[in-house]
Amino acid sequence: MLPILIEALATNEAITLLFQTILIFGMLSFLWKTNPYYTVTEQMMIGGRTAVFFLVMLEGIIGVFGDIAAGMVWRIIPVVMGVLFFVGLTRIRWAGRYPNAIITGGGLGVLFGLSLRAQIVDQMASSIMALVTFNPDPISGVIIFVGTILTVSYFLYTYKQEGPLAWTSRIARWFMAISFGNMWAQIIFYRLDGLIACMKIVVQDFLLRLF
Amino acid sequence: MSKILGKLGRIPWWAYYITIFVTVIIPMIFPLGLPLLIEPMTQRYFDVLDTAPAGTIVLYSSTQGFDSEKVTGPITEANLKLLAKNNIKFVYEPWSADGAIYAAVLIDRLNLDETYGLVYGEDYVLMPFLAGMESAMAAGASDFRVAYSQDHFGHPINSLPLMENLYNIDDVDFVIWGYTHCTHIDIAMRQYYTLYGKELITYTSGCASSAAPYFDKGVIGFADAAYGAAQLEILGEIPGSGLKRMDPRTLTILTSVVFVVIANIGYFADRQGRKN
Repeated sequence: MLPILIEALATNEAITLLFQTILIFGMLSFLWKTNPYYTVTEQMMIGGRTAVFFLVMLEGIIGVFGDIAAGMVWRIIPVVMGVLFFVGLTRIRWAGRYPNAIITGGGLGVLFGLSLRAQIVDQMASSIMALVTFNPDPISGVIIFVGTILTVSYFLYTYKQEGPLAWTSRIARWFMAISFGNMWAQIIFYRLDGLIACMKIVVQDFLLRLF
Repeated sequence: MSKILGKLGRIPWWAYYITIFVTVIIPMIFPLGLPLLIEPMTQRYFDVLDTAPAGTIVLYSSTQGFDSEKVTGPITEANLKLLAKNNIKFVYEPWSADGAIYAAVLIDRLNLDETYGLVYGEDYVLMPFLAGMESAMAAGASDFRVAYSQDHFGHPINSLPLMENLYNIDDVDFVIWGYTHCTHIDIAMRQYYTLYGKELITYTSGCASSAAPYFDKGVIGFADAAYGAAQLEILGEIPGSGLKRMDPRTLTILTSVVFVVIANIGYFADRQGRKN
């Protein structure tokens, strides 16, 4: 048994798999309760990711200086903006507001008008068009249209939810419950996919090959 | 009777966990070969890649990195294999700090250069990570050369043959959008479809319902995580890690459904018991 184990572990891949298995069990030990084994694994993951992120960012910063040296002088602007973030720790902390304002303003500008078009106007138009074009099919078109109208009616807070509005709100709640249930199920299966991938490493890639 | 049934609603959490572990592990040791349904959206996803003429250029934009590899790994593998198999050229834009490293490792692991003759610089280019997400995506879409001066490996953009006639998103045929957070579909819709009219095929990590509202309204096909990967592997005859996961996945889903049904019977029986 021991020689087989040593032989199996004598490759880089086997050592990686063993290490992965140890870490996976560490993470799963959280199901029992928070414990030192889990904490070590968790901190290793956070530390590892932070190190990778730091190195990638550092590479990016060095690249920007290379661009400036190569004649793309305008790239000094983001460098100055980046440096201004750190003056928040000094007396001239007011200057730190500029990069924040520019990033927030620029970010909003990039998405605001397009959000209205992509998520509201185009969606409304296509919901109505689905009734005419029967796309993807007549029943789906009607369900989408009715579901949209009723769900919007649920959020009409300027009227008391009574009479016909009480009924539409009740049906809207069903539509929303089904949608949220679907989303929740997908989140569970996302986690299950992760668990299956981890157990595949432990069972198929490591244990079954070892024994 | 309702008292006995009511107890079903109080299944201990460890019973569910143990059952799930068993249903995950058993099919790994004894494969069952459970059937798999090909979804119309995934069929469309495959058709887009399969019918694209050789030499088609796509923008492969993705938020995934090593942290989401356990879930999106199979679908990324299937994607890369299909791109290489159909001789589709791609520019890979990562939106996770380790995204470019991840793509490089994956392409290397899949041995695409030897299997399909994929050549870096001619058939694909890996861009470096740019901070800023949506603002950076907008910059990249409007002008690759303004956003990137060099690729992930440090080669100047202008020295890469694939980038010779590629200046902005108008020069690519369509976009592949791989995302790991459910709301990220909106970003791609805004920056690629609404602004430039570029249609997307998209894959997700368990967020298929977030792409569904855009189906046929910018999104022309979508595939979901390992399940989508398994379907692509069947359609493209490129067996991979997606198919290997399907037995445990199907079995855990069935088990979870059984638990939900049992718990619901317990809930309603308990409520009935209280009424009586």
